[in-house]
Amino acid sequence: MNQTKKKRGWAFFGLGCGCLIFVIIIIVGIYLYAGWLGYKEAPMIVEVQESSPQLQDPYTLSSTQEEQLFTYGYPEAFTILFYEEETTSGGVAPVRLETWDYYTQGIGLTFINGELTAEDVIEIDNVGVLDPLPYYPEQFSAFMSLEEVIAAAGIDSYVEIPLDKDFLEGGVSYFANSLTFGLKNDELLYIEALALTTD
Amino acid sequence: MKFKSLFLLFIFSCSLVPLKPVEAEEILQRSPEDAFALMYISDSILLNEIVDDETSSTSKVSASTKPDVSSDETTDLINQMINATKQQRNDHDRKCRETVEIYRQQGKTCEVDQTNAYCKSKRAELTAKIAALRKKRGGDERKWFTKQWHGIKRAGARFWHKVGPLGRKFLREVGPQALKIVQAGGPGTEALLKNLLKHTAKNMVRQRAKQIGIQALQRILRVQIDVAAAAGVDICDPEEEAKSSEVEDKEGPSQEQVLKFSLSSEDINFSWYDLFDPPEDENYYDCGSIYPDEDDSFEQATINIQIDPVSRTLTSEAIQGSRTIEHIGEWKSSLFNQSFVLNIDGPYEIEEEIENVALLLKGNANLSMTMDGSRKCNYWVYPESGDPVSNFITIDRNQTNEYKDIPYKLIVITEDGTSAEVTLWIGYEYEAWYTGYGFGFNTLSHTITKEEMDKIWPDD
Repeated sequence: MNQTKKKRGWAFFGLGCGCLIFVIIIIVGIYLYAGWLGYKEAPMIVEVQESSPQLQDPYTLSSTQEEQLFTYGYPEAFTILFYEEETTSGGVAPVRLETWDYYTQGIGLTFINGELTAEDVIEIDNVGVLDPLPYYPEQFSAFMSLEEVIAAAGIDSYVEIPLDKDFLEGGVSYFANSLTFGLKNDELLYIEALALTTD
Repeated sequence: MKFKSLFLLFIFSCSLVPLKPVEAEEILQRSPEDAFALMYISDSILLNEIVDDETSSTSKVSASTKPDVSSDETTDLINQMINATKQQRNDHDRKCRETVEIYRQQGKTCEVDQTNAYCKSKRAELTAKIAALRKKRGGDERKWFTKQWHGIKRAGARFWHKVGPLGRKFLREVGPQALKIVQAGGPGTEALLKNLLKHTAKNMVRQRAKQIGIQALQRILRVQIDVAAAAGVDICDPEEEAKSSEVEDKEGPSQEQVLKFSLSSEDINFSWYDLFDPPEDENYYDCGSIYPDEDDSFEQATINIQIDPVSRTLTSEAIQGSRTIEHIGEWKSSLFNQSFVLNIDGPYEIEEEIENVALLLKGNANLSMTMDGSRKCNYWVYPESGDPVSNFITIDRNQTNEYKDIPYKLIVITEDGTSAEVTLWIGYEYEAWYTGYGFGFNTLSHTITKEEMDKIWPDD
């Protein structure tokens, strides 16, 4: 009789311990899962550890862009947006919309798929001494992956800011030396090379 | 043994259950809006940081002084995203207005409709995005579970940070760190920090966003029309356009959105200093004052106003008034009729919005002033010998002066949220001393209902 009671007591004790361990495992699981989500969503500074693959399909400047390059030189800052548009045949085609800014010459050029679509006057007083921009527009092509952007731009370290899904699902904003860019689902949609002054 | 195996199997099975719905196939969307959203958030993070930086009177980024991630840094980021989306929406509205105006000037009514329809839907998407982000930010309105969940995420993230890949560090402050790496190229605080040109050229950045945006919008619209035409729907063919023009002529644009109301003027004051001036020569003409007396004021005027929130234009029927100013004296006198026609017909801007309290719209009006009458001016002639002789010159004139860009402000104030008072000030305290003329009147307030108020109040 006593033996049976003892066995039952141990069984309850074992079950209790099992439940406790189960609850602890669940709590730890939630903690780790939530932590992993938080980790993925957290802004971080990243130092590039290894070299990345080279770009497979580099962009070639259009003849119009080369003409402008000959006239004004490489831009002192530039912005490129990549997106898709519908075509009359029912498919989609990539669009490369870019502005090249020449602050010291007071002019901004806008190209769509390499075609010059606008020339605007940039009104700015006393630009100061501009640092030479370490990037060129042709270094970047549509929908590059993060690794390709890093390789193309030669980035050593960057800030990575994952964006809320209500703002842009799969969107991440990046900041690097004189450079800011944004990817969605690991595809480059926006890149901007920023002018810096030394004074 | 069996129990243990079953228990472990249960635990592993639990880990296989997806915690969010499985998506059959992810559709890659590379829309221009996504590209723009990335551009605006980048601007928002860098430029807002610059604004903060300037406010604290330093152009250098200081090392982090905040203690830890105890404050909700995700809320800061969501605020940045809200700001970015608001800026995107503002620029979207502006480039839509400009594109509509271009098509209107070209007489392309179909394209105007297409643009309005496209712009309206995109605006609604951006507004919905702002609302979703605001809900997420939530503040104290967040539910208890949500707050706890974010707390666990933050705490757990520290663990993953410690075991995560090499070379990754959490950011305590997003803006300063982003700006620092852009300026200095690395995380080291000792690096020489250069100034971002954006620092001194924020307006230029906005100009760039606007310019790049209008190019994209016009292309999107053109592509939409081309694609529709290729599919056999010639939405902008001349016949369809004629039909749509007829409908528009009959019904007017976006009638269900337009807010109409009337205001009565309280008083209309003019001060003019440059009327009927005599020709300048060696004589000193004394024409006297032409300040209107109290009795010379214009009568009350009624103003019918129409606000189209889609194209953000404010239109009024011509506001007219006239008066006679008569100053009769022995030495000098004025007698003339003065009449004016005031027109408001053009875009307005939202100068200020205090959420659910006050809204201030501003724009420009055109004023036409006609003066018809005569003035008698006294002057002295100094002969070579003898005393000065008094003489008179009479100037008769009928002239019309056109004044463009007279500023107006429409003020909407609500106290209870269910109705609002609308007041219009036109040319109020216009700079008479510098321009030679002054003009101003304010209207009696008019009460509008909440439904009317919602038409013009920006959706947030």
